[in-house]
Amino acid sequence: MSRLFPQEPPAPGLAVAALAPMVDLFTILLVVLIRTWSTDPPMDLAEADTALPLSRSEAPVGTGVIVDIGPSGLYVDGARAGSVAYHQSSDEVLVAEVHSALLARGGRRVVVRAHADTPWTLLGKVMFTAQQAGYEEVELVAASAASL
Amino acid sequence: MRPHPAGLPRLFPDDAEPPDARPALLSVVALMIVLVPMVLLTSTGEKATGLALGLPGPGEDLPPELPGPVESLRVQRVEAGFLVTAGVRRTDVLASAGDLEQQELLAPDLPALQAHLASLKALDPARQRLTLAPAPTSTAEQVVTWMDAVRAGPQGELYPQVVLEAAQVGPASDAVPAPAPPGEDAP
Repeated sequence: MSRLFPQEPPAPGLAVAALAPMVDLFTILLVVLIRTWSTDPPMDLAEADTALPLSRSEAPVGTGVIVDIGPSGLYVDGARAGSVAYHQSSDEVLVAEVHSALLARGGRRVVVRAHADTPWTLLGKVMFTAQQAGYEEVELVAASAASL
Repeated sequence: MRPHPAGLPRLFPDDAEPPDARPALLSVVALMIVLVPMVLLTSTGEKATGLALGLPGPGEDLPPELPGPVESLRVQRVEAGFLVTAGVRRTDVLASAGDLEQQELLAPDLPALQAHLASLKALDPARQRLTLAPAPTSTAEQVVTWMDAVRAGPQGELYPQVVLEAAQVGPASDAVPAPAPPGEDAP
């Protein structure tokens, strides 16, 4: 009885027809990775449940003193400097703990990493505090819409 | 080589063996196998971006803009949407004094806001700055979305320099300095 699918020995060597799609796939994968991924080190947010706002901008993040506004606390370079709940409801415009921490560090630029649900009143207070501490540039960090 | 019927050698021989493409493809595959893991190892999927906030230092003013038909431009978040307040000159922009018309345009949503800003941009293409005044209840996510919207619209670039107006916070709000020099972006 003859076999329905006769087994023929494969042709020796690599098949060009199999290599070409592999090269295409790698090329697409490489372009996607370069387009969407960042060479910056992963952000070490002060509170793990912080979700940054989403932006279409693709400007790189500058370096400076980092002020984190998490869901529950304020942090300057990772050190806690106040409660969100307190300063959100407080009538004081200047956040004293953040102000003293910024004064102690010195510099020209503040990088603010705020939780997406942070109210503008608190964000404005932090910005005003940075201004009063003598910082000339304030930058707000957002997650780029181009990221995966 | 197949000989010419007349016995002459062919100028373009048609029976030459095609070059073997496998070595070239293999080298490309090898390069990709090295490159892709290297990119994966040295990068992260969280791409962050920095939005510069136009804020003057304490006791300082922002640098003035070039004189143009639009002298001041402010977008305020209101209950009904966005209120665009523009000071538009009706006389020669080089004149030291002239009629300044305060135009107030209400935009119910972001596309309408971008349309208003595009018309003002067409009036004064050189102007780059805009003052954005979020509401006290606005969130950081909303502020970033509005900043993106006023920086670029469907028809192109709008106002890349966004000055965030300080938040009106409680009774001490008088202590917050105005982010723009008087007569520059203030309503």
